[in-house]
Amino acid sequence: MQDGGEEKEIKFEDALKALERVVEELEKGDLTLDEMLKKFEEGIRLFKICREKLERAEARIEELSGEI
Amino acid sequence: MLKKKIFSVGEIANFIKNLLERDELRNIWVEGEISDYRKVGNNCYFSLKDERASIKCVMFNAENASLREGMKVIVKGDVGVYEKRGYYQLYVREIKIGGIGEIFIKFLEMKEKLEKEGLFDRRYKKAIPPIPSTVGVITSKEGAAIHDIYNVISRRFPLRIVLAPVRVQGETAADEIVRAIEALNERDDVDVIILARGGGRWEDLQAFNEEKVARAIFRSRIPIISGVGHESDFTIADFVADVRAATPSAAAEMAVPDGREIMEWMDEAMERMLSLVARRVGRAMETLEGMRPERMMIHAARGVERKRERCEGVVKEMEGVMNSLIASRRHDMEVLHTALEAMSPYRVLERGYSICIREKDNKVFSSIGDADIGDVLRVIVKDGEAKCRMEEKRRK
Repeated sequence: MQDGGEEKEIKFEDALKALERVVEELEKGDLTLDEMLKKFEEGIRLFKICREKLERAEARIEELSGEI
Repeated sequence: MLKKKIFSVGEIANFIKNLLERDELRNIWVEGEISDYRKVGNNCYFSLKDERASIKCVMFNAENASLREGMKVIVKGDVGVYEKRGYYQLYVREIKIGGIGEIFIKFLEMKEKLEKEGLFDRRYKKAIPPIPSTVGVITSKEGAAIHDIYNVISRRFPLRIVLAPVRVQGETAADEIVRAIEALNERDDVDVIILARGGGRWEDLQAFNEEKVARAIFRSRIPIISGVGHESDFTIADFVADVRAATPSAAAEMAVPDGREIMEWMDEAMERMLSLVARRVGRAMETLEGMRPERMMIHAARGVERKRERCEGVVKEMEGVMNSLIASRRHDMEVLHTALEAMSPYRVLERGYSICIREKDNKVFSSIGDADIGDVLRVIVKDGEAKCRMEEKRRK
């Protein structure tokens, strides 16, 4: 899967919200087959982004430097 | 009570119980000296006395209490009647140990003052973001709290933690905490802050009772979750914070969602999409079936080439997605898969349709205006293709 700059940038939360919207739009059922497939592809893309982010996520601690 | 009746002991005991166990004697703070101290298992029994009187006390599950004879304490609890033995006693839930009377009174005064000012008001509580990207943590670099928080976050929902290291007790602690809150607020990447300190004696939590810390928490634009001390320790910081957690670990749990739940939601969303698409495709197939092949001889869908590639892409992607979902719902998925494959344009050819493409640019010939007389068209059928020249056309 190609990892476009844009995909790297998108926040997990935003991707998840977008996925939710896609499902909602598909559920409305007023799309043409073409539009539906387009949405579906978008949904799969978002699903993969989310899953990848979730699976690859690692907790890390950065320390705030400075004079605290 | 009725006169002239002979009462049972139980009735009298019950009457006395009702007299004593009332709201005024619930959740009260009592100061005194410990005597007749006994510990049985995790339960402590003692009397609390001063110059004038003494009252029996019992504290259940008092694991952390290290009490001694003669110790000055302040206890919190309810007055209750132990009917079986015929005495009243104080059921203690919390003990503050000796010499802290003054700090404690200061604490109560500060709490009252800030409460009156509205710093604890529900309406000022900020919502914790459901899915943060970065969590700020204010605690000691050395303490157990940061490890607990790290462990919970990496288990539940791994993300970036920005630690603002501070001393959590001592002279400078309060100022350091204030500066840490401000420093995290100056950044634009922190979605929620955990203010934490592991358990300790109540006296050691005083930095979290200071007014400036309370005000800094109140001013924070970023929501703050407090996780200070033990379950039973409340500090002013806990009251001002947007959410109070009992411990640092509990604070971390509140700061991040459960990754597994999100994963489940995503799988459900994917299944939902699959079934919606499959249903729609099924409908399209029915429509196609209803058309008569003769009228479809030179039928082609717009952009069929592109669509074919996309459909194949979709089918391929779906295979990947489905493989991971298939284990639990093998049958459903196979049905969906078949339905999706059926929408490939090649399947349409199988059933006797053909696709017509303009030779010059490979665009699908789907409307009569797409080509003129003399143009060369490629007609694709299920087992080959033919090059044809248009001789005549007529608009319907």
